[in-house]
Amino acid sequence: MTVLPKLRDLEDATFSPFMEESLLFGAHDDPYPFLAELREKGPVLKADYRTVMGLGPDITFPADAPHYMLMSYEACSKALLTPSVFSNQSYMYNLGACFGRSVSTMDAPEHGRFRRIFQKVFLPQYVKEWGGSVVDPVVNELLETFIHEGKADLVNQFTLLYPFGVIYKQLDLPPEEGKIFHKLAVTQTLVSVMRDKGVEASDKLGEFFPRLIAQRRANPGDDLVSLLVQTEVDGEYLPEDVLVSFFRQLINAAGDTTYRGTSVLLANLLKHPDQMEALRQDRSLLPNAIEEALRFDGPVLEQSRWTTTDIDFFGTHIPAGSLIHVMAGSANRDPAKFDNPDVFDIRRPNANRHLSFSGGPHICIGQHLARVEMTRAINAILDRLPNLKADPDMPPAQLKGAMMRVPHHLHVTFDPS
Amino acid sequence: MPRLTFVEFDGQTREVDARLGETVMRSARNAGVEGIIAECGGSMTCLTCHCYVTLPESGSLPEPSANEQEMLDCVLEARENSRLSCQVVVTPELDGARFDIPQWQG
Ligand code: HEM
Ligand code: FES
Repeated sequence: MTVLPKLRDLEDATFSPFMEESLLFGAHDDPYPFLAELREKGPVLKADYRTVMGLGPDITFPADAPHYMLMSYEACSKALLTPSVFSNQSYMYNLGACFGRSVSTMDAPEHGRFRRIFQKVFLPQYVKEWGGSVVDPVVNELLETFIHEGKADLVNQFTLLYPFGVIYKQLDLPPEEGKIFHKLAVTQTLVSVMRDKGVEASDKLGEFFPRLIAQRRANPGDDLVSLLVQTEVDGEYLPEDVLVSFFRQLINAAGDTTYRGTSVLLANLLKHPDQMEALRQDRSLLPNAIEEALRFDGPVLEQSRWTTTDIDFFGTHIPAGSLIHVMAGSANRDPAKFDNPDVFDIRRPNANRHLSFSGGPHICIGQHLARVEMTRAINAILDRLPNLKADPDMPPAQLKGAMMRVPHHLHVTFDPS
Repeated sequence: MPRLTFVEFDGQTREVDARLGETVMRSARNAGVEGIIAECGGSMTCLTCHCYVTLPESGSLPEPSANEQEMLDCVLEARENSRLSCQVVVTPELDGARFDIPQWQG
């Protein structure tokens, strides 16, 4: 048997990327009123979202490229569905620099070729099985660390941990390697604000994954790495560099987003105890509650695109070579699409029309998995933490961030068992 | 123009005169059929354009491609007559076809 390769930690092992996150994502309490103000100015604005939010610019973008923000639902949706003009080359600068040849940076026809191979593994049918075999054990193990206590911080004791637990189990990594993996994966995304650290982390993951892939090729199991190296469509397999960048991206694309999405849903249920009670009584409301949380405060506020040609778009002339901020966070609160958009309502009839998983050919490949993870997590919490409430002795939950949203704590009480 | 009928899950019915050569998904979207979500814009990646097709006696429809079939194996609430409407092209033989929309897309 070949041995599992070792991941090397950062030279400065004390460096914590988690502290630097606000540089990247901002610490804003509520960006939505400001987004509404901007949206009222027009569907397309010549501005850089990071700069208007007072964040430092993304240093990986070409300094002379003009920036445009798409604010209305219609403009965002149209751009996502017009990939020949609104290309994903935008991600070559930041994601490409840290993840390498990721599907996020590709356009047709290359994108479709690789995407359909990955996709095979993430279709609802297969993903459902992971719900029982991977997600449930991780969720229950975590809940058991605190259900006897009668109180908890559901972020630090649960939502921040479970999606990553799911990934380590999917990749079949030992938990201690998982911790370093998580740290390196978060550090690599800092490339947009701290280039050296980002590159170091990316290199270290880049030396680890080819070895892991080789080990699983030699000893295939039923883990995601073994599965992906064996998956083919029409005789075509995934090249190693594309696979490596996918694994590099997984912590952020799958873990970080699901942690945020689940936290947003819990925060809003705690804030609206009547809706939480309705959901506890009638679990058929859960799928729509998940969609509403993703609409109301979808964890990823913007996607970026790069214009390949000049285009007149909703009354604005956008030159080729512009950086486009597709503001999903604004589209999701557009009153032209959603009635009373600033109200959280788990029964909203068109909640699932949000753009939080993006749209068009790059629509989130993990959306079915994310829904399964959130469903299992919320059901387990409602089943196993009776009488769940916001802890009245602690500050109420506060969501933070302008690029990515999350509450840093969710202090709760419940009947211990 | 072939006439297509879309029936939303709540029973709401819409008749659409569809352009030849257009996909059924686009004909539905253009006519404002809400239940055909088509998040991925026809790249066959999202499964949210799923519907159940009933052809009139005289009608006919090509079989799904291997790729579409593989996707159809994964939709929620699959049935014998499930199709992804982004993969079905409007032809004269589709005149009078009825497309029922499932309760859940995806
Ligand atoms: C609530 C959780 C999640 C949210 C909000 C989310 C959001 C997104 C968004 C907005 C995009 C598109 C970016 C763009 O348009 O360029 C995307 C793409 C992607 N997501 Fe997710 N995601 C979530 C969970 C997951 C999970 C669990 C996975 C696990 C596999 C995953 C894997 C990916 C991948 C690989 C892509 C790139 C797809 C492509 O470019 O073709 N995501 N996600
Ligand atoms: S529109 Fe997405 S699969 Fe048909």
